[in-house]
Amino acid sequence: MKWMAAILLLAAQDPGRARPEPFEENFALVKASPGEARWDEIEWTTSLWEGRKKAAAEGKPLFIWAANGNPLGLT
Amino acid sequence: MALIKKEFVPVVITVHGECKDAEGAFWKSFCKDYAWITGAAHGVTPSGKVLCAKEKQSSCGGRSVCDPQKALQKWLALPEEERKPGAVKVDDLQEMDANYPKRPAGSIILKGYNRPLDRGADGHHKRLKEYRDCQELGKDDSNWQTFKDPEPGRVWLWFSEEQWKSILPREPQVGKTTPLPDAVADRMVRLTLLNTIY
Repeated sequence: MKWMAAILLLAAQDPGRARPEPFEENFALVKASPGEARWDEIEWTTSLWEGRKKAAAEGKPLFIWAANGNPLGLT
Repeated sequence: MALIKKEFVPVVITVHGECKDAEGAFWKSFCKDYAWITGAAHGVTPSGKVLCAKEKQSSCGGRSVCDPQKALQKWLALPEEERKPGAVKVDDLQEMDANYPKRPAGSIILKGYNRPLDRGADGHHKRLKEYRDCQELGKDDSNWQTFKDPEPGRVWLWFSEEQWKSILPREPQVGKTTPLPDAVADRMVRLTLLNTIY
């Protein structure tokens, strides 16, 4: 994130060099490219309890990805 | 990924403290060291039996990752009676921990992405091939790591109904931009995007 901050700072200090680029161009650079984040192709259940209910009903095990910052970003 | 999609019920959760309800009790039943988790993956039966090759490695501390192939093998080795649909009865969750953050009625979620960029010799932005960041405290106060081809960070930013209505233009039009109050821009850019997950 320090690079991002540095870029923003540079933009403020040197407007001639850091000219604005079309939003769509930057957005495409920042978002994941197709196939880049394959884990994102999985339809993750975001409730442990609902996942457990589904697993029990379908006779499947759970695959749980847990973190103290949600990988999907929904914090 | 295909294996996880087909053979498991994939669940992603945030754990940042003890959840005092049936869901929290289920989590605690197999995840003993649950208070501090960073990127751990677990294979678990609906009854809470750990399926990873070594049970200790699937405990919740650190960055353990359960191999889904091995977890599936262990699942298939269980008796049919334990695996068949309906073998474990799971009722609806009656009450949720009151401290669990609930999305306010009428709120909206702004989904954001960020990724470290550099400016190339041609003046255009480009993705960084490598990115160094301090991930967690270590013996020397910091623990720097290098990430190659970092994926975008993601963040969901909640706005209450009152908040989003306060920044909505009176006559919104497609393609028309409108300045945000500094406090809102600060919250979106400085307080949210700068603390995200890579």
